[in-house]
Amino acid sequence: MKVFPSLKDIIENTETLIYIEDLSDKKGLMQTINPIAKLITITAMIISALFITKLSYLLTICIIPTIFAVASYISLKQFFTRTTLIPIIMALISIPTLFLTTGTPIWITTIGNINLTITIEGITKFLIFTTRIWFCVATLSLLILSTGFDKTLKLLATLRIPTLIIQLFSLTYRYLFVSIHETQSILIAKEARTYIHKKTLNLQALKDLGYLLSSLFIRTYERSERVYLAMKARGFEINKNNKPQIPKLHIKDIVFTTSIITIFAYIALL
Amino acid sequence: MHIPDGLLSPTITIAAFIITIIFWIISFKKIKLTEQQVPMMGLLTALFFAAMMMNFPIIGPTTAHLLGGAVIGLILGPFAGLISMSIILVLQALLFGDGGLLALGVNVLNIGIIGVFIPCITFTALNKLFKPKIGTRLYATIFISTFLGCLTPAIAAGIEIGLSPLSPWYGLSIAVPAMAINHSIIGTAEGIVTVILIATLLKLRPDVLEKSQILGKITLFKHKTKNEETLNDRE
Repeated sequence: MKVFPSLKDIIENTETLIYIEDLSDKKGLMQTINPIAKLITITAMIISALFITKLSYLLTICIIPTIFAVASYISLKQFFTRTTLIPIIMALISIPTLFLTTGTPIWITTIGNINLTITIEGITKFLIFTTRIWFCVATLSLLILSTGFDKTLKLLATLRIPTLIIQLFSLTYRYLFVSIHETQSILIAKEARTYIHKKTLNLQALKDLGYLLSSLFIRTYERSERVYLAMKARGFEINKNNKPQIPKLHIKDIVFTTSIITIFAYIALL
Repeated sequence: MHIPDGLLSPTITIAAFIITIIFWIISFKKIKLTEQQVPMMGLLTALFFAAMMMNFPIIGPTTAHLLGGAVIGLILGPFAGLISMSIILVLQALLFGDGGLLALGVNVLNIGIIGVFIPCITFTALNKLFKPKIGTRLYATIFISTFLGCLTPAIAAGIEIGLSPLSPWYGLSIAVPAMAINHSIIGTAEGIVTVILIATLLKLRPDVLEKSQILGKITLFKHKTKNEETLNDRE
């Protein structure tokens, strides 16, 4: 059976969420680092990447998130699958750079009346751009893969994000699984009724999506009323301040953050 | 539409973050959620998140998904809509790598602020101008608001990308039209989906929309409110 793209995406996304929760419990390098130290380190790594303009340096720093992933028991297959989609999309969009950048030509061809020239400068610009995007996506992925959602919420609380926002984050994440499951059930039911998919944009597909969303909306709205009553019964209070339980910074966290920031600052300034 | 880290220059990233933080503070002060509305907003945000995973076909294997800013803004109101959209964008960046940590400010500015506020402002203005009842005019108003809610963030993203020296996308003259043309197709599709969603809700659960800060202003609810007030006065 041909799987409807939405259904396939939803199943894959659910798997990702479960995988994240599984990984964050392991005792790897990044999992043992304090979440605040980890956030500072990762932010510094991403900022430094914006200032690095040499391809060789960018390729060198790409080794670091890969080493961190291995040291954190993150499967390299999963890590690369997760981190390559966005850079591939960006690379596809920036293919014209290869032809539009002036410089030393290395390959010339003619298609019809158009002369296409690939230059060394064009290839370098293309690779710098794609490598930087991969590095940023990979580094950010390390944060959630090694922290998990529960600790991320505590991290937000430590950063003095208002309690209401954290409550909303928490509710959204918890009920995301319910929403995904419900959407999945509706889509499977639709598939079971041998729904015919057209390959081009058509009014019927949009109408179906609209009706599906309205049905989900009403169900969710009604569920929210029941959820409120259940929460109230368990003593829910708006803006009830839950003190953050992020452990204090240890020397190893400070050493880790300082050394990574120093290395990246040095490379960025080279 | 989601801009990843590494694409925009630090100047644009910082400027966008400052604007976003100002809007976050204003929105947080403006939304006055009751206890009952907290789970409602959380659950609806989760629903919109899931809805954004659903694709519709464009041509062949190419698919697109809803941006959701317009529908969130029209149903929850601009301030709650911004908070809700920001939560979605943070989760998308963290969980699926769609977006970025430094690019969060830019993404919230485009999708959360422009993408939510423009449809709300457009709808309010057109509603004041034409006072549409349920029917073609109202649906046209919703469609136009949603369409602009897709197009304007794309233009904003095009400007940011075009201005950024880090991006190889050939300046404003190419980046802006490329983003705009692409998203006008998605905007048309999203407009139709939003009209059907709101039309169905008006038919089945109008009470849900009546409480909405934006959709609650439509003539249907105003008349209803006036009638209720008259009844209350009589009692």
